[in-house]
Amino acid sequence: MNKRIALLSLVLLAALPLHAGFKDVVRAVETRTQMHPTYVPLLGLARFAVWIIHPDGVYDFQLATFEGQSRGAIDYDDLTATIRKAAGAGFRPLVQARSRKNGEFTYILAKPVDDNRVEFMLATHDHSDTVVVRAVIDADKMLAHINEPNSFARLGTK
Amino acid sequence: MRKITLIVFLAALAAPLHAQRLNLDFPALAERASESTDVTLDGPMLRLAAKFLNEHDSDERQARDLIKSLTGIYVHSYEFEREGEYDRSVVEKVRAQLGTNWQPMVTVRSKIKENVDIYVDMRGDNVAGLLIIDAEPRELTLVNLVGNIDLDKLASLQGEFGIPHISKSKEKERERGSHE
Repeated sequence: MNKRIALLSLVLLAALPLHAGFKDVVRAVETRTQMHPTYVPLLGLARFAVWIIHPDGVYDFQLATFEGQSRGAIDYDDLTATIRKAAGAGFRPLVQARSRKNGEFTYILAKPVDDNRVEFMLATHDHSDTVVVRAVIDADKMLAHINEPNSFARLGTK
Repeated sequence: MRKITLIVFLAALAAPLHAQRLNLDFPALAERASESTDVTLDGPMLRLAAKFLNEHDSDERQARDLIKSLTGIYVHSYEFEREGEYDRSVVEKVRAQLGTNWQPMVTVRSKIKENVDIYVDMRGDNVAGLLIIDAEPRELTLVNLVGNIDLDKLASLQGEFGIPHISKSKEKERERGSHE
């Protein structure tokens, strides 16, 4: 049994490529907000399922959630510059939305993967939650997300 | 030396043919705003977006045809808590960037304080760029389209990519005006 689990874990690890850009963005958010990512159980399995099922036009995703509040005031200009640098080559800023009213911040970078798919890097922050999502989705879903930037945040909480 | 002069001369001639992106980024404004949204759609992402507008919907088909000839769509939108909270000189800073080939196409001045200006970058008979300034007491929206623009198809972009419904705001204004 243990051998089976070990084998499955190995297959999962081999199948799910680690994206340096995502890890770097998570690290950048961690450094700038002084918050630490929380462990999300079964996330690897969910990602594997997304690879097979492509729900809602999503082909791949990575997710990091941070809970609690930042220790100090966040310099959003510095944060966006750091995220952009960390995301890596090819990513361009697509949407940046900020609300002082409810303390929400959303920053979306994107790059085309091929003729039909787009890779997004999203960082969103409010009073109690911070989420970083990397997702590869159908480009036709992209327009809906541009017209309603907060819909990206829901990708991360589905 | 003559070669260099010739190249410089040719470059100077060629430069105005390419519409330039205006600088609509005002960090101080975003800092004061209660809500701010920036949308940047250019390069490969714009081409990809064009591909996925619905061919069977006439508005989306027109939008697709229009954005195929664009090189960039830039939208900056700011919302403020109170009237007069933003520095109106920002609008002048935007206007100051417009060269001699930019011409006013639409100017709306309202009693209820919503002012809309649309400028086009004319290159002969072609429109190579467009700027929309929608200034309300509590809201400011700046839209810059870069590239060849078919003005007949322009309305199809309203409501897409964060571009406001200009005609709707005018209707709203007319409605309000009729009640005054």
